[in-house]
Amino acid sequence: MWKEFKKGIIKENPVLSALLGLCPTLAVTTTVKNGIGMGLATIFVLIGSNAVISLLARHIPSKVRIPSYIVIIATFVTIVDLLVQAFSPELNKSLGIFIPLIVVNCIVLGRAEAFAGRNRFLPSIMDALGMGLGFTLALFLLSSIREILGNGTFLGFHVLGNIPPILVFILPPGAFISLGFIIAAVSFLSAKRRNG
Amino acid sequence: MKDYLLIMISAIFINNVIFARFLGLCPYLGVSKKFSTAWGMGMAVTFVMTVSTAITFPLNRYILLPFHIEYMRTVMFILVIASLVQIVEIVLKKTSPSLHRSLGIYLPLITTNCAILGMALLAIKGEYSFFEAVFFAFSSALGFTLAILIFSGIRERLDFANVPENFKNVPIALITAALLAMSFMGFAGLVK
Amino acid sequence: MKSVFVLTLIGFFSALLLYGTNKIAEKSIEKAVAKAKIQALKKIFPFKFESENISKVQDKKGRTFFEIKDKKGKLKGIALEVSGEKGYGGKIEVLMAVSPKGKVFDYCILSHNETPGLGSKIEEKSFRKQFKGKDLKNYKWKVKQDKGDVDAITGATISSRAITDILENGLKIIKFRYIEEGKKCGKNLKKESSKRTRS
Repeated sequence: MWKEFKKGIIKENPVLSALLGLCPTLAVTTTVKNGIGMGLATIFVLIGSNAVISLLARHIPSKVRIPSYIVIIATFVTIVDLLVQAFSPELNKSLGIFIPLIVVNCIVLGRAEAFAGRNRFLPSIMDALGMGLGFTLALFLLSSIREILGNGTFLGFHVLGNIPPILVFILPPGAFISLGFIIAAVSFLSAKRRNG
Repeated sequence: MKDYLLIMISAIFINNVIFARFLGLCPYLGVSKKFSTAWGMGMAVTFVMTVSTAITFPLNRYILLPFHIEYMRTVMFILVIASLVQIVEIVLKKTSPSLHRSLGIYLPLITTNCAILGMALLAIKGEYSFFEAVFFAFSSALGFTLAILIFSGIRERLDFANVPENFKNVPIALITAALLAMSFMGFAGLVK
Repeated sequence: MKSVFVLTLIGFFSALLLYGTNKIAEKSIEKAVAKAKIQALKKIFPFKFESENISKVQDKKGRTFFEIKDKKGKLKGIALEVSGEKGYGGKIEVLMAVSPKGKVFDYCILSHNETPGLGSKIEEKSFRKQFKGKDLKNYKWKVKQDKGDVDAITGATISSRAITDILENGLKIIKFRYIEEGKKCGKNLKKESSKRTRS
């Protein structure tokens, strides 16, 4: 059980290892607050959909498997959308359309297909939690770099003193470059681990 | 007429789906290795994006809003898109099996292409008329196609370049995207 | 046809669940939206007030004004949402606070698409403070480059011009509704007074 949880965080990290869920990863990581917010919303959807799908998968005919999964996922996405609107309107404003876009986050459908569809309730929840945390970790990493270098702040607190920030990091090119370097670094570290 | 031209220029260059809005990245990075597949993907996305907006826009205006069931929007929109992609797949299998094969798994993946749902959601946000909204989706899809074509052209060359081991494949693709995004930023302010 | 049945069933339960969630969340969402609006209004007026003192009015053109009154019902300030399309990145939406005599208190940007770090500086206090206390008479509403009084942001002239136009337009709307309409003068006298104030 612990294994199902652990794998999503480092070894099979959905963003850094499987390269899934890139759109929100690049788009919302302008501040750490947004990154974590998106991560939590996605974890909610992952747990909800994985849980329900693991329970219902046996009864769903293969022909309508994907559409059924999609409806279940979309339902949880809408629930989290309504909750964010009600309890955190500023997060709603900064994440914008990327909250409903969780429904097309390849991580969610990917785990539903690859795991929840053929495993039991509890392991599916652990899988969802692990993958969700791994995703949030990647978001945290990228948004930290972008917020500190691009805005001089971390969670809104000024950390660079008088050094002016490098604006490009909170703009699209900065997002691409930062993620590129992170993935290269991950590749370097995992190669070292394999050989060393 | 001028409005439409503005919509098109803005959607393709200034607010490019990939370089400015961050939508459609998975297929962008996944299918752009060869120019011909990139072209096929671009055409498929253009078709799905335009037709899905043509369906979701009136769905939103004449059913979701009047009946106050906006909360069903995500579910309904994604079902429309999924069905559309299914239809495209069936048609493509019959009319052009070679293209169908080369697109492979990326064709059903258009369903989870955040660009399609993303543009459908953006089209109902602005104060567009039906035709303007569909045109907006169409132009954005053209922007996506342009981006993916440029990118695949560069990637075909990158295959022969001397890229450091850890940067091969995705990291260098992302850095290339960064440079392209930067150059597209130059288009800002084009429309005054 | 089990497939269709299962899918429809799932769809039905989904709709049911979402209807329920929506019902529960509706009230909170409304409250959150109203609270955000009140907070934004509180930020742009120099005096304190509570939500009871705010009244929302609409004119014939569908424009919304937020009138802030004191406990005795006297008008202390008016807030108005104005927008313009001439920003560097397109539309800029502003919530501006004006005194009953037509002087600017402050404003906040509701939405914009200006360049981060450059045009986005129209949000910052260092740029906003120059407009405090200015009205249509004692200020030339153009950037210095255009022989006006507004100190534009270095490297963001277009954004600066756009916000200047938006604020001037807002003042004109306030003047038309609260200052000129309030006068019980005849048509000719009204034309005379507007000619005077324009110079």
